Amino acid sequence: MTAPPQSSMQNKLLALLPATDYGQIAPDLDLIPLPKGTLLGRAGKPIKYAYFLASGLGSIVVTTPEGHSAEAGIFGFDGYVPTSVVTGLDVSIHDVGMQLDGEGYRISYDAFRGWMDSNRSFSRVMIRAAEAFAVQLAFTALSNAVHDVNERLARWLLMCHDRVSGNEIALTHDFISLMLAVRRPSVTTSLHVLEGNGFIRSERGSIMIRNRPALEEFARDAYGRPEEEYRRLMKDLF
Amino acid sequence: MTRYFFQIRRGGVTITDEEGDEFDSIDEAHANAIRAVRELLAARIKNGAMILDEHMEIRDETGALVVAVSFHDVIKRHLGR
Repeated sequence: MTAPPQSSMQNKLLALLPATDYGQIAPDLDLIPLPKGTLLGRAGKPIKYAYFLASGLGSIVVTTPEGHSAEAGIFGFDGYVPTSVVTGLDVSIHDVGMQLDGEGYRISYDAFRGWMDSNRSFSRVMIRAAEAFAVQLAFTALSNAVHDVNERLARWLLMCHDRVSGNEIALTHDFISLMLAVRRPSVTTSLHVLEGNGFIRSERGSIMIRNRPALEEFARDAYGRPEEEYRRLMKDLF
Repeated sequence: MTRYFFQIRRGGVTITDEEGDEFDSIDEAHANAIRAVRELLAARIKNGAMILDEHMEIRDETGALVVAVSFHDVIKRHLGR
């Protein structure tokens, strides 16, 4: 299936393009289902496609040679992956995978590179989005260093909530433990703290956001700066 | 592989574990519980919080208690002279 009229385009980056530029690029976009577990990039493997999510959530997972893994960043309809395509690198550096069911627009690596060279609007948005993603990764590194697990969990839930529709997020504790690089009982305990405060409700395989403003207040400075930078980077582009 | 559940009991409060993890043996599950308790203790000590007399209980799929790890015991094992 090809791309819809720009007015109903769910991916924020593609929606941001001037109409004529969108019209040129749209025929190269294919809408495909991206169920949970779909790999959009594999470390060390050639990049065949770039993906613009319309819905769902994915993450970048970094793994050491000995097999220790942690999540580096998450993305949804706010971005594209793998961001390495913007540099002209055709090998994925990290594992990139879907963590919640969704849909996305797929574009071949060659078409993406072609538009980077020939369409200034497209390249501007792609470069800005890569920078916005780098900002998120930097703040995740900072957060991992200075915030406790409760705050990091609050931050991460807010980031997920920003990228899904509705208040229910289908997340297992096991998955959150990989994302926050802590053991599962630490996740369970922190969820219990957030739940005790009435911010969320945690059920098997799902987290319900009940009081977002209070959750933001709890997360304090762990949340907000990358989101602000994203808005700034995407403002007044055209 | 057997699935074990790791719940935390603190006075009258129980934080249940609905997912569980699979392990080859109870020894592995026990070792995992101790590592998890160490991580929880480290976070609390770093935050300056009290370490109450909590337990991490390992239960099997029937809900039967297999072994309990005392938070205080784990700390005691790390005290030197």
